[in-house]
Amino acid sequence: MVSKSKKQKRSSWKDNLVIAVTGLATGENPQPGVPIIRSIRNAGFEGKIIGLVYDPLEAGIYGPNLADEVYEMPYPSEGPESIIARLEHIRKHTKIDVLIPTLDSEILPYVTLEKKLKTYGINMYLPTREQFMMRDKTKLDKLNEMFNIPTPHMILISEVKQVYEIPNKMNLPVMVKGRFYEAYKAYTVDEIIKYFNKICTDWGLPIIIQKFLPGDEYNIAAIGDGKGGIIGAVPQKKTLITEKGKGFAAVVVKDPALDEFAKHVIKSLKWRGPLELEILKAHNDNNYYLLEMNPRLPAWVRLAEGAGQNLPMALVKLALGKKVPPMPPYKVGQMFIRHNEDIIVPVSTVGELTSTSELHNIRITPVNQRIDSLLNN
Amino acid sequence: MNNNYEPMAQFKRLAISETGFVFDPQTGYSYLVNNTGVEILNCLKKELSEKEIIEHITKNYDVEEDQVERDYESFILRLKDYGLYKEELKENGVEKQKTKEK
Repeated sequence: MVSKSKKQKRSSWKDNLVIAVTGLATGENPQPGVPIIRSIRNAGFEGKIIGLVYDPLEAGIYGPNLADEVYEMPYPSEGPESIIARLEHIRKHTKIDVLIPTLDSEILPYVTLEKKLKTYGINMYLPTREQFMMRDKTKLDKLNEMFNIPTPHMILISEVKQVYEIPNKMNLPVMVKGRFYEAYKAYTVDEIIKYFNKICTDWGLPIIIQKFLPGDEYNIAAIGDGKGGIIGAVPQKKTLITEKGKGFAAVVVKDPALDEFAKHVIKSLKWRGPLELEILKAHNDNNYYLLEMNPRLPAWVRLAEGAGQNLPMALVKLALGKKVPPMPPYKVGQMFIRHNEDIIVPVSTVGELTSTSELHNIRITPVNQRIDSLLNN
Repeated sequence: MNNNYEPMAQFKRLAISETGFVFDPQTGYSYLVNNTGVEILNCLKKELSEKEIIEHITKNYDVEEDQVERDYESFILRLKDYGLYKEELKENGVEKQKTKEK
């Protein structure tokens, strides 16, 4: 005979939790919000998830079984005060227990706000300001000096006239990079100027000129524990890349040297929080070089879940101050293949978000989708 | 930091399926090989010698030994091109990786 207590669903620490996630754009240049929500849902989380978005056309807003509520946010460039003001408005409708910022440009404002938001009961698991600044793309070569982390030679430029000096300082081609986003390979001075102007318009100065090293690129999604240790880390190699350089397929790899490299970087910075390492194995010397260190989980983070490490759910627990032991070894050979799908949504729903800057009770689950279908037939 | 980590024994790390799909878990590269290629790779993983591999293929397939020798040499050259075949030499008791010279 089954006792009554066993029949009842056990209440869990997760039941009344409210998690807010940013960055729900998908498509050609997908943001990490949707895969992060999917991994959290796949961990059995049935509570409320709030999407914090910048544009009513971020497709993840309308995806099935994702967000329950959505609020438009001010752009990070408007400063921490604007974010606080908006969150104070949102708190009138709902509590937020955990907030996961997922975009590079958001991390610093949220690092600045971490203590203030804690007083609102909003928990995050982010690096310190010092850690964040150490991995800034414009200071990457300092990691080489401070911690012996190999990085490609780079110079910073702020004026077009400096471009003409580049061939005297490094061989072409070079990589032309923005501080936050975008990277282009340039073979000539004219190309460098073209990309300089493009990146400068979109993301501002300085522009990073990085030595181009032929080699194979690897990416690692991980979470650092803030003491030099790693909660989880999954390395992959992109096997299908779009014209914009985004991975549309990748496979989990296992190279002890690559694992050691990642450990060394995370240990050196005592990194606290999520991260993505972009690493190059150079053909000329077979050594690994750090190309970039991004202060958030990547858009391909579901591959980590598929490989046995649900990093987004670990992040939620860490934000709440729960102890998370190091995750089990990842499964080598797991792949992701990305696909885009058209989402059908009434224009009135998009209109409601556009006019009111918020949407409520929008989560479509398999159950309410079936009920909706029965009512309409 | 020591960035000169010794690589794993090249072809020994390969995952080889019966269908000829070969996955290198260290680099993420994958390859397609025919039935004979699968046989040779599996023999190499079992550390059979060149002579033993050629004998094995000749015995199990309807093909002349001369042809198998040529195919074997050609296959090994291809493995070298992809950085998958290196001979281990022992010098002063220390194992070193060295590409086999022809």
